[in-house]
Amino acid sequence: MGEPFFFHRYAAGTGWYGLNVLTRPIVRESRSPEAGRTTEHKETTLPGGKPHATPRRGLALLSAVLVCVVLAPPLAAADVSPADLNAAVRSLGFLSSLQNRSSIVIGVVYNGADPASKAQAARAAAELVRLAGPRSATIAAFVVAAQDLGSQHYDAIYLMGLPAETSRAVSDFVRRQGVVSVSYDPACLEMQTCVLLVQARTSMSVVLDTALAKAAGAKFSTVFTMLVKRK
Amino acid sequence: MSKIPTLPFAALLLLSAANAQSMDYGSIEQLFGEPATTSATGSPQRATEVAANMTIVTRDEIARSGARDIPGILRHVAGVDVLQWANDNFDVSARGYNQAYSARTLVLIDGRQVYVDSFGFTPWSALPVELGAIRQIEVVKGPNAALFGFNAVAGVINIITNNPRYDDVTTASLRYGSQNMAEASGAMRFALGQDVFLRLSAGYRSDKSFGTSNPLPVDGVPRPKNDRTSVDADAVFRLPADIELELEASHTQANQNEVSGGYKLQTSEYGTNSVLARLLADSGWGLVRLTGYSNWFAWTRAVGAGNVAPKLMNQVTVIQAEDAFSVTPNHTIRLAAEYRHNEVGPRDGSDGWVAFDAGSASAMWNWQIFPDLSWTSALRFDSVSYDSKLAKSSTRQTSIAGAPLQIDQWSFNAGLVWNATASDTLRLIASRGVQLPNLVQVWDAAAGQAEVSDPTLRLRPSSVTNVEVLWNRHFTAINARMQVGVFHQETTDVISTGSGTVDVPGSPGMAPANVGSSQATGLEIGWNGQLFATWTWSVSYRFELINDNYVKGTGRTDLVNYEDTTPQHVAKAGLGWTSGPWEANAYMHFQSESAGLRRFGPGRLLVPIQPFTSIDARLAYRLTDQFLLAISGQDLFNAQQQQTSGPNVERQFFVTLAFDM
Repeated sequence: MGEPFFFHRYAAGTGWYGLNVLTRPIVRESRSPEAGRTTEHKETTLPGGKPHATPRRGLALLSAVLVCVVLAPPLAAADVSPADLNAAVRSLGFLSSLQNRSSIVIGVVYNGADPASKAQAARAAAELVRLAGPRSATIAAFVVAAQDLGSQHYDAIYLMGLPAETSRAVSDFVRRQGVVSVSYDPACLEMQTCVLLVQARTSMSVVLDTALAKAAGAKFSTVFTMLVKRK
Repeated sequence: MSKIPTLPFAALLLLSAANAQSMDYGSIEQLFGEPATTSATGSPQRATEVAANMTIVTRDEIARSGARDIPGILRHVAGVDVLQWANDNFDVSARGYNQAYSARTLVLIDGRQVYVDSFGFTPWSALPVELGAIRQIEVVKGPNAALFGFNAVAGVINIITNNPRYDDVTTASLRYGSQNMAEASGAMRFALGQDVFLRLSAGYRSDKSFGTSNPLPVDGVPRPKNDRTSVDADAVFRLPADIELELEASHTQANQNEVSGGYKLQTSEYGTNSVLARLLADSGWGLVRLTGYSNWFAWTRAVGAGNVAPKLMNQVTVIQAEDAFSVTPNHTIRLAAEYRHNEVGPRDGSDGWVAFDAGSASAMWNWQIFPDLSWTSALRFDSVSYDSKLAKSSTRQTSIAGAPLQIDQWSFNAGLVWNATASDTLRLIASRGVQLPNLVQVWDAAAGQAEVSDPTLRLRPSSVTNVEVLWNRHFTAINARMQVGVFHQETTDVISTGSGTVDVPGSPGMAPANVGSSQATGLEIGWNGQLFATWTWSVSYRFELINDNYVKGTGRTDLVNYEDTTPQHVAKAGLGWTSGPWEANAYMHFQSESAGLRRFGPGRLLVPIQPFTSIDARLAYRLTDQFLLAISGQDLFNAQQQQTSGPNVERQFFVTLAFDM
């Protein structure tokens, strides 16, 4: 497997909007279940956290907001957000192979040539293990460079924004290992690297690449496939 | 001759099913951040993408409504009209056209019809469902008969209960309030191992009638109190090969004072029973669903000075099969077939009966033309055969067969959905639905024809054609949503008696008849949103003009009136606030001047109903994670208020202690 991250039991009460607790930097001790070694890192607030405002301050801001609202452009697709990650995990709940699983292993795939991508993947992995998996399954997340994908076994992989030159390696990995790949980056559909595009922005967008899903042997419930857009 | 081996259909499903999964509404809602539904097309869809005018009332909204019953919740929904005739007696419709024993809205619980075909109405207090067992209420405005069948002409209200397999919800509540109201209600979910899931719900309520004066004629002696008892058991079994079997049984008994379809105040006792079996499979052929259910409805009215209590029995048995599948990623199809037998009798102690057998076939096609443009169309054909036996009467010494009636009708729904921008959606919708004459109307019509020895029954169903344009915009900066819609509806072959009967149905000229048409045009605007995570708000307004065109000489034209009884202006608003353990909600309802029908001898009179505003509110304090104490009030600023042509509505208060886990 790639670089080990930590394996964290989901804490009750930090569910759907659990990210709101991350409004200040915290230090978390994390441990790899395989290597058994502990790493220490700082978590910071990820984009998408909700601002807190008092009603009085909010009322003062409201008029300005109203003026701008009609002209407000749609949110641009940017870095991965906690909402993206949460939605990705929810989507995995509709995967047949993960029904009744008590734990799920997710590889977070980044561009090995870009240190920023690695840092972003680390933050995403930290967030993923905080989330409750389908039917309260625990989640273990490991970061791995796209260039290092080989014979690792994951239940699913989460793709950060990846350059086109990595698409072949990722796509081959998905098909060879029969693993579901999920990403927030719309470019993954063009590169045929993601089985699922899951993007939580102005509205929730979930696109299923049916051909890649078939190649990976991934079967989602029919209810789910009818709810999402299919490519 | 070659012999083709055959297998029972269920066995084929067992072989091909891979991962049966009924709608896990909770997971879908968590994923998409919005409720999902099957009520628009029969296949799973997100609420914002359906090709219909739909509102979904969520579990949280139900809890915060402060209402003690379903009509009390629906009263706050934009575009829904609720008439409260008495304590526990309501009629609900969409876009006006409301009347006593409202016939135009089809009401379902988890897809099972609870609309009663005998008089074509919904006895709301006799529905076997507790508020704590409801996951969401789906309100579809406009005809939706191509999917649900006849009588869904003003709209559909589909009450979705918690799925015992997925929704681990246990609730209980105690209520006490004005009009001597006392209520206990609960719903408990059990999991028996990994494969059996059970939900039991039950409730009891009693209260007394409003103390306001009654302007309507009275049948029998009014009851000193109303009461309702309800029990429901719902079990879901995960079978081998992951097929899902659902079994459900329910019973209710509701005794109340109410206003009849003939605009009399009467005492009614409703007893209902139902059994349902449903098989679900997520198979290689798509989502396959086989459903069979029977409803038994017994109705006793206390009539006349002697309080004579004739009983009317109505049994309906329905068998449905449907399959929703995708032929390509951009094409989803749903095919369905249905058989239904519906029978009423004996009526008022005689030996007559009336029944119909209906066969139906329907198809739905959803085409994702482009990523941002989709087309949905549904078509349904109903073939309905009525038969009846007319009991002996003062002019007839023996029972005779009533004139038969055959009705063959098409219904359709079509919708174009264009996600014009990330924030804007435009929908163009057209639909046609059919409202059958109810069984008692057919009986009365047959009786009328028998008296004139005419073997031909000329009663036709009413049909409603609707076109509308909807624009939805999501204002992300202020977390608000807006919907603006315009609609035009045309109802043809309006039936003269509405849902009621006339006093002497067998007399010449008194039989139910088609008397003309009615047109409606309207504008609906609704906004809702959230502020600072502590405030929620909603505002809606509807303007509607109705024009009834009845033809003199075709039958009684004074018994049904939509033009004057539908208010032109209706405005609603809601405001909610949460802070720590505190929750507060207030709802405003305003409607402009209208009128109501009132019985006067054998005829009907229109009486004016002045414009009125009512305020409902709820204040709640969460004692612990599981316990909540709330005080709620309805029509807070009026000790009594005229809202219908019946008795005035009284102010109500009640305290609720709720348990939720």
